[in-house]
Amino acid sequence: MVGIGSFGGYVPRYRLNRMIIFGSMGWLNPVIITNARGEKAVANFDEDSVTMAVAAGMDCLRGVDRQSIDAVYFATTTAPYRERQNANIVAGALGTRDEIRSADFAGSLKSGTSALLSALEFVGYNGGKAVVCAADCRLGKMASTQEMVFGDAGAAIMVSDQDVIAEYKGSFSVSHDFVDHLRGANTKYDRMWEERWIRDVGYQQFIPQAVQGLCAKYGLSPSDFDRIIYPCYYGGARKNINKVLQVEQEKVQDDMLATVGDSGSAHPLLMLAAALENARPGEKILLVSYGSGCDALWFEVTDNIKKMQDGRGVSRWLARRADLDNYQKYLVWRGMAPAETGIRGETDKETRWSLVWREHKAILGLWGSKCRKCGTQQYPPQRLCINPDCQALDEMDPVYLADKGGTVFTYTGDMLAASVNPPAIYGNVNFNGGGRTLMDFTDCTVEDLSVGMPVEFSFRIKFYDPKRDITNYFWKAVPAVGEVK
Amino acid sequence: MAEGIRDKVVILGMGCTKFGERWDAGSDDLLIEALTEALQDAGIEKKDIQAAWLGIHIDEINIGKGATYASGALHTPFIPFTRVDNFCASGTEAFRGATYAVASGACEIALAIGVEKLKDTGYGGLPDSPAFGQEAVLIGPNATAPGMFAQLATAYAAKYKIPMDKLKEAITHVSWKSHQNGAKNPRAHLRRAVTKEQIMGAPMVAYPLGLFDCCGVSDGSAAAIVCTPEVFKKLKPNEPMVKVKALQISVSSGEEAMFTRWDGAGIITTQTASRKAYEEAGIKDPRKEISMMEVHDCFSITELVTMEDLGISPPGGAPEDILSGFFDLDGQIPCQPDGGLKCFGHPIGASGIRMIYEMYNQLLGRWPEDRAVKNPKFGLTHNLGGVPTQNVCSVAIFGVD
Amino acid sequence: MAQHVHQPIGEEIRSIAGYYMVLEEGVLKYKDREVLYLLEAAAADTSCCGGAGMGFIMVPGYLKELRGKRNEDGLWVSEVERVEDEGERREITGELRARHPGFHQIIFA
Repeated sequence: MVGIGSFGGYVPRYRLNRMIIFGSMGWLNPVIITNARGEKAVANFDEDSVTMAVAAGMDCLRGVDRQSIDAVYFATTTAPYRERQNANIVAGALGTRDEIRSADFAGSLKSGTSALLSALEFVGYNGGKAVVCAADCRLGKMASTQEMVFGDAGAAIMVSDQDVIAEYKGSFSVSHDFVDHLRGANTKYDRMWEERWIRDVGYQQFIPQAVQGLCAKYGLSPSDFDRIIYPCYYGGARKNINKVLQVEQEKVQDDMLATVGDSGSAHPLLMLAAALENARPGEKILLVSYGSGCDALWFEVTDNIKKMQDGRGVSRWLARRADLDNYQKYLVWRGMAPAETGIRGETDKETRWSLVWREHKAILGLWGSKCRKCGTQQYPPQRLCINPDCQALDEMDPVYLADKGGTVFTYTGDMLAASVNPPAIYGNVNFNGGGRTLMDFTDCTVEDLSVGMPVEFSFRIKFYDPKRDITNYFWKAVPAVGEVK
Repeated sequence: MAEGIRDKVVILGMGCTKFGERWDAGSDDLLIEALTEALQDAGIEKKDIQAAWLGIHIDEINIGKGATYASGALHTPFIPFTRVDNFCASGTEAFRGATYAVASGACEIALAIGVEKLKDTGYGGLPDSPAFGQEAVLIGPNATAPGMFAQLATAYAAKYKIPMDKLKEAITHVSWKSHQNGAKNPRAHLRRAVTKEQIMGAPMVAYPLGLFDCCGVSDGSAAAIVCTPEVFKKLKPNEPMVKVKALQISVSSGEEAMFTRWDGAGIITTQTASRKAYEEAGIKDPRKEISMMEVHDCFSITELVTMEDLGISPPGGAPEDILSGFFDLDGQIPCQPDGGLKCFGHPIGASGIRMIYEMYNQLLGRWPEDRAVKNPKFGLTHNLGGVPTQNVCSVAIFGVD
Repeated sequence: MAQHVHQPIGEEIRSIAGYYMVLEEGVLKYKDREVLYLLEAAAADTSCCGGAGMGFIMVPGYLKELRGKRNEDGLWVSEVERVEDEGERREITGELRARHPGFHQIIFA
């Protein structure tokens, strides 16, 4: 049986109340008030689609042996690299083997479900496990509808041929060169055509087309499904679609527009993850994506679901929140407004790729080493054991530390270090199981920290080199979820 | 057991420029200023120097690499001139080169000169550089020295269960005392006494360190001419002789940064170097025998933990000693009689030699009464370069006969 | 009861790493009491490792007597009661942040 083996979600900690956007930009484009309800999730200054995809993947793969993964797919429309496979960065962070299939899925908001379909077909053909990580961090111009509607988030689905929590039963796809939203290869901000057309001709026709196509293919009716998941940020259109499909409102999954916003490629999978948190065995789930057409997928929940309803998913991330009470901060974090960071901010940091390749396990996957002689765990990986009483040479086994967590040994909040979110918070962290390293802290304030408190590790942007358009990534310490005051 | 260099090398003469924002002076001007004073004090000519060592840390500013800039600026007559860099201990490293050359018999008169010209960077602070290598750029935080040393305070407070308020009170006293001492010193970068209220009223720069807990960057140079006791007696018969009693350096093993045994509330290299230095100098009880100290107070918390690492204060006992005035100018062991890095200033490559300059002049009784240490016997200098988890420490002891 | 010494407005208090100064003194009404606070500016312009500056708000405490006497340096001294309660500190911080956006640290003496 092939289907979903696990799921995970990620919503960044900062939320921007849409009234703050309106308060800042309503003078220019007053009509954005029509979308000003609720809040949207905003990636921290050190987050992007890759890091959020990893965060969701880490959530999804809790308790899963990383060595058992055979394929890693990454879906987004906001990939940091056009050449350099983004999925390999995600796979490196997740600590999978080198002998895997990896691919980027891009170009449309249905790329998340396209990746999921590919993963299902991969496992159906080869067996094993494939993980799909999707995330998006789309930008609308200041005072645009898109700026109001878009939110940042990630979601991950692991496909497996064993112990599935939801069996894959079938799919139906439609593809259209329907240009409602558009970003050229060199464009940063989303552009859209008339909203009434998008709503009436796009969402309201294509989603029913995909659902009806799937139902016709398998001899089902939309009302046979217990849970229907589709993205659509037009409230009126949602009502119409439900009416056309003759499905009851309570069976339709909440679109999280008021809490997260439309997270693009990730959004259908994010909604699926939220649905699986509460799904009951036997439920029939219909998942539909939207963007340049639609994919419709049919799943049936199994008894295994209870084992995975252990806190993974979306709720705990939604609960872990902090207000971003400053619109200008949002602009600077997203690179929408130039900001002075001083001469220090101009320091040219060249990335030396041959060095990065030699150390790629330590950098991407936080791999350390463990001494076979004395058992000491250490980071970065050492050839000579760091234990002064051992010092064995070349007796090391690699050890994946990214999911181990640790405790705060020392910390500070530094007003002098160049940062777009001062103070820069960093300190020494003791890894659970041994070893210590100095690292950045993120998603917290100095007041949140104390010596000895537990931390988790989160994959983040380390620094961006604007001269060469290089995003470097590394791990940062984050107070363990549940620990943040 | 190696016998060390105790009493084998003496200081013949020293020089030290005014430290500060020397917009008028380049590295060459500073070097000339320090060497000129040292030669006058020594009563020799430049051609008498047989070998020289240059201490400097930041090569990007003005001076480039190697020692040819210095030899060219000073027109030294084709003698060996070697540049040494070991972070903030670079000055003491230059001094080590010169003293080892003399102690070994390789030469009779040698020069150690340190310089740093930082005020051409275009901003306050040290230039951003991959000081710990390229891999550290990719995985390490974008840290600053205050942030790194501030962590000593969080670990210290946690280890000794001292409330942060209490620890802040002790380090405030450290800063207050250095301002008091620096105010009396005409060569100090900052000559201004401040009240404890003003120190406490400053904002946080790197939690829990405030603006007055941090040292600054300065331009400056300092020089020492060392020789054998025999040469000294020939050149300066009947004059008191300041001898090198001990000089030890200890460098991190990587243990502090990666292994989990270190407590984070003190500096292992200081503990190691000072124990070796006491042994070399024949000092049994430093709290009783050391008369005065110039330590590396890059941050007030560094000075606090150094008092314990040097074995002067018992573990956990530094705050009490500090608040009781033990290290004040009129206390039992005056610490930073010249104002220290906090007020005298910190041109990195010169700082180690500047500390020796203060001990040398105190031992010779050359300072006016208001800043003189009474009847000093042993003076100790301490440099700490790098960060608490990865550093270089030097401890030197001087005595007068 | 504690004393607050009023530093002269606009006068730099220098350390080697930088300086700070009081820009303005203010009073916040909070639960029928008056909280004395100072808007201050700091610059770490010559610190070892960095140039930075920030606005910060110092809160000496609840006012008991404003400028009741002068100290030996001729500076005004006020009697204040420190704000010790965590809940009160949080609420006062919130009000001061709303009143004076952009200030980085709010410090209770």
